[in-house]
Amino acid sequence: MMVLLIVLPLIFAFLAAIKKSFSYPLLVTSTVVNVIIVLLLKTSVPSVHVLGGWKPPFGINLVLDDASYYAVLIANIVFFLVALFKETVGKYSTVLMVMLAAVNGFVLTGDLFNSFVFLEILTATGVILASKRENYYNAFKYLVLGSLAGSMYLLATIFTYTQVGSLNMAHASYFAISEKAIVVITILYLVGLGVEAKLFPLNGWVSGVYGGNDLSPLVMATAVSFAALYMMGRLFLTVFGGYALHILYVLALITIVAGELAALYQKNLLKTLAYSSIAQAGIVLAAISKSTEKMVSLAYFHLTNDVIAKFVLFLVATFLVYNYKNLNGVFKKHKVLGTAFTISSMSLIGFPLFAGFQSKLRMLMEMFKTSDYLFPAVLLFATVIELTYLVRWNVKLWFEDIEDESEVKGPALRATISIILAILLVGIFLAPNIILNPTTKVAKALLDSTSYINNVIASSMGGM
Amino acid sequence: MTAVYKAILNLVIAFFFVISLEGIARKITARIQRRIGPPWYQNFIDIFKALSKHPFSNGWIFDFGVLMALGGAIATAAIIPMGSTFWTPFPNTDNFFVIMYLFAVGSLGMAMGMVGSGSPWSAIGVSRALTQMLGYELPYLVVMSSVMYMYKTSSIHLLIEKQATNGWNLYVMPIGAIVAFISLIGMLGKKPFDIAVAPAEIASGPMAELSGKYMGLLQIMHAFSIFVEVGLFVDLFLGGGSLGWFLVKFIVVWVLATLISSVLPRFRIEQMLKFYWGVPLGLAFLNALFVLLGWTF
Amino acid sequence: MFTLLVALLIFSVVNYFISKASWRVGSIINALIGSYLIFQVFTIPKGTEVTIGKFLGETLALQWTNAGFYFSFVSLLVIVAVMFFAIKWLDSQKHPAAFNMFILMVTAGSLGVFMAKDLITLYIFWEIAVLSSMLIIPMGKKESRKAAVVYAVMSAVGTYMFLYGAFMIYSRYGTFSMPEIAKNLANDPSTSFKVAVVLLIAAAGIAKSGIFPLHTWLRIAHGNAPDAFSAVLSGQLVKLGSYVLMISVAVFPSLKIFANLKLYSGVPAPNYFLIALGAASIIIGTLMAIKQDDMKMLIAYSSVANGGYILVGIGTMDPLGFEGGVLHVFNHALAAAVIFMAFASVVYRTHTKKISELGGLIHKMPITYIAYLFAIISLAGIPPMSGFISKWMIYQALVRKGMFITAAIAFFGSIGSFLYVFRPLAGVFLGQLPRKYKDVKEVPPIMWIPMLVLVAISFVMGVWPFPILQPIENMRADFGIAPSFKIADAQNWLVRGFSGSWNPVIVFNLFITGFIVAYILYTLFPKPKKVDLLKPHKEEGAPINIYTSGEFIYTPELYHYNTKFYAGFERMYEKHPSWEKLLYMLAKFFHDVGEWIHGWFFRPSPSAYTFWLAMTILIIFWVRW
Repeated sequence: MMVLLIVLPLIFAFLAAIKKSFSYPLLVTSTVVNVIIVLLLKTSVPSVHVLGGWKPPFGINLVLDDASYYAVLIANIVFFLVALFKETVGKYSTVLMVMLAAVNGFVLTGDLFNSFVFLEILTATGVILASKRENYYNAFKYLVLGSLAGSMYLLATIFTYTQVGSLNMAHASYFAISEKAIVVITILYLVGLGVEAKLFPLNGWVSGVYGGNDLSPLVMATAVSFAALYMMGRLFLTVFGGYALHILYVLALITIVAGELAALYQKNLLKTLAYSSIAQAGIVLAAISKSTEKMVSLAYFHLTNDVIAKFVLFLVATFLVYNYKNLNGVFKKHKVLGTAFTISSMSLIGFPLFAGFQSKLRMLMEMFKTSDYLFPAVLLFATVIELTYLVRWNVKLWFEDIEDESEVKGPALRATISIILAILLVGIFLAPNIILNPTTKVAKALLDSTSYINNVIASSMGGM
Repeated sequence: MTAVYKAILNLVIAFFFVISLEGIARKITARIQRRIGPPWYQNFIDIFKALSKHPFSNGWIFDFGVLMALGGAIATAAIIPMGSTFWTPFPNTDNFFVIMYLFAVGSLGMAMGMVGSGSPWSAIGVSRALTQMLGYELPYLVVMSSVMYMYKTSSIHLLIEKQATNGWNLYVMPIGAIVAFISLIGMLGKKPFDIAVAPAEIASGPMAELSGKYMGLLQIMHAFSIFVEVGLFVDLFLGGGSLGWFLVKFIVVWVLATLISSVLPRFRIEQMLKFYWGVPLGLAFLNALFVLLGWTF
Repeated sequence: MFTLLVALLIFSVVNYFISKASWRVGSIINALIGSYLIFQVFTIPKGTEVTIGKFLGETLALQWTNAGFYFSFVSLLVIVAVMFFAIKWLDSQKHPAAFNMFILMVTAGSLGVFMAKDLITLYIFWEIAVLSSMLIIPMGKKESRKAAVVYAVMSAVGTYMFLYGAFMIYSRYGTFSMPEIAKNLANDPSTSFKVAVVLLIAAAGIAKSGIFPLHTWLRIAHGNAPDAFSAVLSGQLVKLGSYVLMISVAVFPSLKIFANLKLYSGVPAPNYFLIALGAASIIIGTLMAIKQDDMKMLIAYSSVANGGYILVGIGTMDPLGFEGGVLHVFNHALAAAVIFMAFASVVYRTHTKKISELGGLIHKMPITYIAYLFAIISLAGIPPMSGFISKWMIYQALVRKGMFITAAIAFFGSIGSFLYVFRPLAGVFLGQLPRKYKDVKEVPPIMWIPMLVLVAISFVMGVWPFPILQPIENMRADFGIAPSFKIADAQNWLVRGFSGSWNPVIVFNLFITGFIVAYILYTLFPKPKKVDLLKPHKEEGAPINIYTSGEFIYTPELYHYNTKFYAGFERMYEKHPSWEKLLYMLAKFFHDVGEWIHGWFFRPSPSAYTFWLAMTILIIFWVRW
């Protein structure tokens, strides 16, 4: 059934290509069906699906374990939420469906080459999305960087193949790779995936793509970002068993600081949020690189909070930016949107009463337990800067005197969804376990390469 | 009840004795300037004349300020020990800081009432007076801290008793005593520190609007203030003494201050501050250091 | 206790909607809740402990201590007064509903801080208080937007240092509970760890109570926040900082912890460091307050100086110094709250906070004037107001310890306070009334009653200070600060120091007697003729009726001395270095680094991206950490 997650949107995309006017209803249908499928799949975790009867390592297999299940769950819900906004989606329904297929494939696949293919589709669709609102130059930049990254990814995959003789992740994990080769492979993967995972200094595309129009940030900063960071964990924790994590750690810390400082400098709301999401990705990567169960779990917990908060922030920000020339005091006209925005930004900073507090504080506590004093210091420093620009924006949007007098009708759907998600952030603060329990499972699944291998091998033994 | 009698005696002495001394001071200054000068009782005449004239009031806060000034001065003058434990009206409350701050009530009342008169001259005078306070209080309080640190008490009558066995503070810490005396001249508002009043510049500053009984009452208040200031110096640095000796020492200090002030011109406000925060403050700290090291006589 | 806090938080949101319908109802409800809370704090038995839940395996708990009681009581006095004040004052505000909500949140947050038993609970409620106050500040005038950001950042710097310290403690002792930490710290052999931890914890207090070097937010935040809220900021929120400072030196018994680090006169080196910061704050606060023309900024700087007093007092860990510092919390809270409310009343009527634009308001707002007058008497530490008692205690401690330089700075601050409190007194209330304010009226009773009530409390506590000294004595006993004798000796009506004592009742009686004698003298002599200072306002073309050096002056505002009030003194330090500028330079530095990163990594063309990608691979291969 899990193959439907990939195939269904693809088929719908084909249908949409045939009959243009059906494309939006098809998008909604496919996302709704996908969410339903994901929810139904809950019972079949963990399972391995072998495509076309070719048993691993010869054929392509899809792996649904706790980790990939959680990632597809988040990604499909995000797509479903995005699909609700007809105006925003516009003519991009088909692309979104392809992208959805690519994200699901990227997350679920157990094959390195296959993941490369999905990554390329992801980049290609991402470029198309980014070019909305004539944002061509930034899309072009993304295209260049994305395809470069793709080639690194491909190169790493080829090297792996020469070493292991298989493209299967389980096999790559199972067989020993020579010391020299693994250095090259991991570094190439790091760079190849680092572009999507927004690792510094490979993240130059982010501000242009997130800040260029009203659709791409909603998808890219949330679902795609989540998928890329999931893959980071899958590759570096499960497949390469903790190799090159210290490199990741250092780069992640630099990413945090660079992202926050760039956000501090930035005057454009969407770009500020883009840089902030770079910094958040840095925090998540640094936490992943600690490769302990608790830290990895907290990394994905933090990522979930960030995804929710960023979704709300971008939802509100894109509405404001494309409807008002001057943003001073606009929240006086849109109180609900404003409240959601403020709650989300406070959650991002990590104020108590909001979800971000739970993840940030737990992370700090965990770091101190393992006597890492550098990461907490960087994290707290970054938080101060983050607080500076977020408070600055909140104050500007709420309290400055209104300069743009134009009246835009309050978007009811946007307001509803953003406030519901904002309330969810408060809910997560009160009951963090609703997220923490799944992410703990994620961490277990990512770190336990033996059972991952066993699952896949077992499927090859037992057939379908 | 005896405390009340002693306090009343304080006030009576403060009134008659200090106002006479003020007259004498005028005489001394006149002689130095080769004038004959008024008789020693001239100030009594001035005060009673002022009190009997028909005054003008510039509003209720003006009245209230004058009352507060005089009330504060009376309260402070009533606590001052006159040279010995016996002549200490309130042995439990003659704490140095209490006296210093109670004394400030009078100054604040005067400042408030005079600015309340609506005259800018008064406001300028008060601003100068407060700045001057910042100047002289600092070295004075540092010296006083070292005195209190040395004897482990801030009760004035205990300090007098300690001096009886230990010798006058003038001898024990001469530097401190000199600094305190310099501060005392500033406190008394005598030249070269009569910046706040400066009759030729700002029309007598705070007093610009005073008439009749207001002037008279404030002159009485001034007399009480002098009693407090000089009295404290006598108690703390000249070892107090029996009532008679206390008054003799009082006269000596007062005459000395008058002599010095009658030959000096007036400072500008910055000059005054730079002066007080220069040598006197440095000496005050030096004195404190000596006390810390035990280098006292 | 916990239910109380949660109920407050929930009700604050409910009150927003009530206030949306009618903000006046909301503010009345607020005031009633506040009054109820004041009674409530007396009923909670000391030592009550409530567990509020687990956080990562650590129990979070509230505990009702003597210190918590004292600080909560003081806070509530200020907040409730402002709540009553706001019932009328809010009609000059744009966001009354949000104000009602957030001020209730501030209350809940502050009470939570004072009730917290462990550092994490403290942190949580601390952030609630910061967050909600941060959202009130920008409701003021234009400049207040920036103020909110500065406030949030400075506060965050302190708070996160605190958090870092708290986690360092946790990683070593495995507990957040303050009594446990105190025990562990006292037995810890590592000096450098203890010094680091205590100073990190103190950092939050330093930032919050406006101690140098994180004092600059007070000027901009207190100066620009909504006027009545400045009273809460200065009177109450700043005291959260004092509470944390007290935790870092008293709850964690610094005399025991740093027994081998005694620097001078039995004061440990870390305490001395804090005292030095406090002393620096006194100097900066006093000097800057003296030269302010904006009356709210003036008192904001005075809060810096008074925060310094509190820190100096508590930092000595001397019985008298400690009690003086803690009592000063009460005195300054009340005085600053009344002063800011008085200013809020002035601004409410005249719409300006520049001293140089005001004058002579005593003729129009006498009750506000009286409130202000008594508040500054307390702030300047003049008997018979309670402000004197705490200053006296601090001086006693400093003199006994032989800390002459600190003492000199404290004296300087005290006399300097006469200067700066007199500036608004003369410039705003006394002198000549400008013509444009000739129709100004006194504020309504609901605004002046809270001020007078606070002033009355301060007055009564100045004459009979034993009720307020008793909880402080209890605190001192809790913290085991060598009680060699009873400082507050209510039987003999004495406040005792190491070097002599004094009787506040006698001082008060003397004062009253002096006043009565003066009054009798006053009535004995001829009745005065009244001079009408407002004649030019009433009669067109009437000259001013006072001494004018022979001129006829028809415009009263020209004959009012309130610009550059201390010109002679101000000139002396005109070209002082500005710490605020230095901090802005630091902020600019980070901004510039951001620009640099932005320019080098995020803006370039695709070719540059390719370059960075290649460089990354190369560098990683080369370094590989």
